[in-house]
Amino acid sequence: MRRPGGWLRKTAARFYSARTMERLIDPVLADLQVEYENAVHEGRKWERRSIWCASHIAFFKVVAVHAAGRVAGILRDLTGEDRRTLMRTFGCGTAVMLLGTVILAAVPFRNVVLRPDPSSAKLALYLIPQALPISIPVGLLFGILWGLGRVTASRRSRLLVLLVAATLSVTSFTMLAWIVPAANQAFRRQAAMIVGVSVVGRPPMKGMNELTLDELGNLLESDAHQPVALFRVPHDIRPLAVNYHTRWALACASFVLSLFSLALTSRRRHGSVMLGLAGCMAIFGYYVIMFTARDLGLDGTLPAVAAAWAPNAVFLILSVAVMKVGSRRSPTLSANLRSLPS
Amino acid sequence: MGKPHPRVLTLSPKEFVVLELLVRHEELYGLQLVAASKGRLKRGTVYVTLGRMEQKGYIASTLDDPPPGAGGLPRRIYAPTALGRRMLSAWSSGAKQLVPEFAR
Repeated sequence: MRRPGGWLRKTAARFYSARTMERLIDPVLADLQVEYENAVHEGRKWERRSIWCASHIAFFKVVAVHAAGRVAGILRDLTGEDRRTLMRTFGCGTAVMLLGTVILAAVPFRNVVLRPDPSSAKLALYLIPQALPISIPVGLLFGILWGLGRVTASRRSRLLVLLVAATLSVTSFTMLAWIVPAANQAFRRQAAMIVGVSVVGRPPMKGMNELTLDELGNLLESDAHQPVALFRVPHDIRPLAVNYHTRWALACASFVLSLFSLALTSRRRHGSVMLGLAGCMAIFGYYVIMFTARDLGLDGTLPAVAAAWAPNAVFLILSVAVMKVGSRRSPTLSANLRSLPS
Repeated sequence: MGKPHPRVLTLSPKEFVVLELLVRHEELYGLQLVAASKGRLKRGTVYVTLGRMEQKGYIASTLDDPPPGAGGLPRRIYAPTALGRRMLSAWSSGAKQLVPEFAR
């Protein structure tokens, strides 16, 4: 019989120190194996499954609690220099993000609203969610380049920045999956009322960007294409597939671009002009790859998954290449994680 | 630079439950602790608590024999240390003095 937990242990061993594995991860997995084997030997089929689920939940809970403890430890150990570096990073990142959000919301706002009135303020509010998944990674990239690129930042600061990037990726995913579609549809409804094309009792039809991730997933999964309220399913579902995978990929952009900018700033200090140029080129490159791959996905040259994930894949490869080049001078991310106190 | 503060020994409610059970049963596995605690300890957090208590020196752990066959992980068995026993008795007597209901 194959013992459960082998894959989890192998993955955890890449990130945790020997001591953490010995004291925290291995005991949880040993419990899982013993309980599971007992249930198998005694022929308790359903209990075996519930043990598997409960043990996996316990494993991830242990990982989460341990991570929270580590973050608390990192925050406690921050020096004055670390705090200044992080303030600079997040301050610049927030400023760029706010500016980006305003620009990205202002363009469609100006296209719809000709005369500002009280109801158009609501419209502006609905446009903010669609701007955030783009402005967050851009803000993070410039924040990291500006905050960490001109100083020799500590490993603690870098790890904390990466954790914030991961959290923002999760936030972006929530936005792209549920909040943006709802806000987009609310915007359509409000805009239709303002320009006077709304027919009483009939809300405007939804486009692809107004479907939640669940709705898109359901449309792609079933051959019969379950009906979605206010949405006419097109004959060619390729655009739906590209849209679905792009949402997942775009949510990860914050993390990937942060990883790239951390790799760029890990080797040596750079001047402000150089950093600004690197940031602009990275953003330009990311979006050129994204739109080119999307077009290739839409015409069927590339599968939808590959088209959506192409920019992340390219930037991940670039990050690894930059890290490899600088690996003689700076340790790897997993070594950084191991070197932190448990 | 000032002199570092001496380490203050503390005992959280969960640590108290663990010590109480270990002193009563002498040796227990993590899952046995969860079962014996009647819901006061959870399997997702018990090892974090145990790891912290080991660092504080309240408990010690040893590895059990590995199960037969390849890939099996040995279980870790926990026991209270002398410091842990003293801590539990000091904490219990302190609590009895402060909260009379605790003594009943």
